Amino acid sequence: MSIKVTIVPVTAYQQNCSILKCEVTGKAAIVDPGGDIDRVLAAVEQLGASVEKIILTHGHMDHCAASDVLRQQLSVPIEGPHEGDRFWIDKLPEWCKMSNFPIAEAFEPDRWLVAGDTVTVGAQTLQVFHCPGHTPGHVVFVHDGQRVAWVGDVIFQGSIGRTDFPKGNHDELINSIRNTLFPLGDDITFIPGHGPTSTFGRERQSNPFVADERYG
Amino acid sequence: MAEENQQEQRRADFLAQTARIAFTELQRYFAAGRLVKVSDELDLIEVAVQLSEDNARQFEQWLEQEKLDGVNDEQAALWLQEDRVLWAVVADPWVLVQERKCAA
Repeated sequence: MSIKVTIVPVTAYQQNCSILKCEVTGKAAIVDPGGDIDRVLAAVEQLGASVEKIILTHGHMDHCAASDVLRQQLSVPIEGPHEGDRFWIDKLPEWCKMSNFPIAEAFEPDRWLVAGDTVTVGAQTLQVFHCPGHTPGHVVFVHDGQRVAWVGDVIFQGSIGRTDFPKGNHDELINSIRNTLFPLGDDITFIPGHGPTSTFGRERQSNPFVADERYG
Repeated sequence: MAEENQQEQRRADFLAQTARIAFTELQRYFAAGRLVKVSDELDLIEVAVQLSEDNARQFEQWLEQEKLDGVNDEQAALWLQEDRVLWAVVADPWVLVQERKCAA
């Protein structure tokens, strides 16, 4: 095994924050820390991992609202999402207030990501795919060796992400799923932002929004 | 006849699964884009039955009449602020919700 993953559902939205640990080095990344910092750090401790970075799929509050506090607390950088989500991160205080989340300040990631980038975690490498639609700057991380993807709110088991947000785009989302993610392979297991894991192959068969049957 | 029996069974199943639930407990489904708001003019159970039967024509009609809609952020914020309790039933992948006041 090259990586070990623990999922911690956080916030009232039960967003799947992941701790991704490189089993070779013991280094870890926290993926999408939307809140509940104490529970996230307890999971890190239980894994016996040393956090070296925070990585973000997109700029919605349930995925990133605890990022800046964790960055300061752990002295680690934030990588991602794509800069298309800058406006979402800038609006964090406003959206947190509206949705009764603990207030989070806007922040600047240490590194914006683009398609084709790679992100390292210890000795592991994640590939970065730009998947707009849910948000314009949404990215997906893929660990090719272990065939695992962190897809944020692009696709869920049996459904897809909302597109009724500012700069959301249904056609772009379908294109991201059908033409960027599905070609990566049916065997890839994905960890969505909400709910249980699935595989791209299973969703191609049964997801009513993006199944092959619907698109021929 | 068998088809009618199946529909009646589905209706009974959905009825048994329908309950009042606080929006705070539904936020996870809202975040995943799975909440659908059903107008008080419609029978929540009937909507679930039609959804389970993939009755696209009926759904298009309800959508055009604005009797069905996704739940947006403003609506969610209002329900949260008012600590609203909603009628809800799962018609996978959707969770149908209705604001209808409880008669009891």
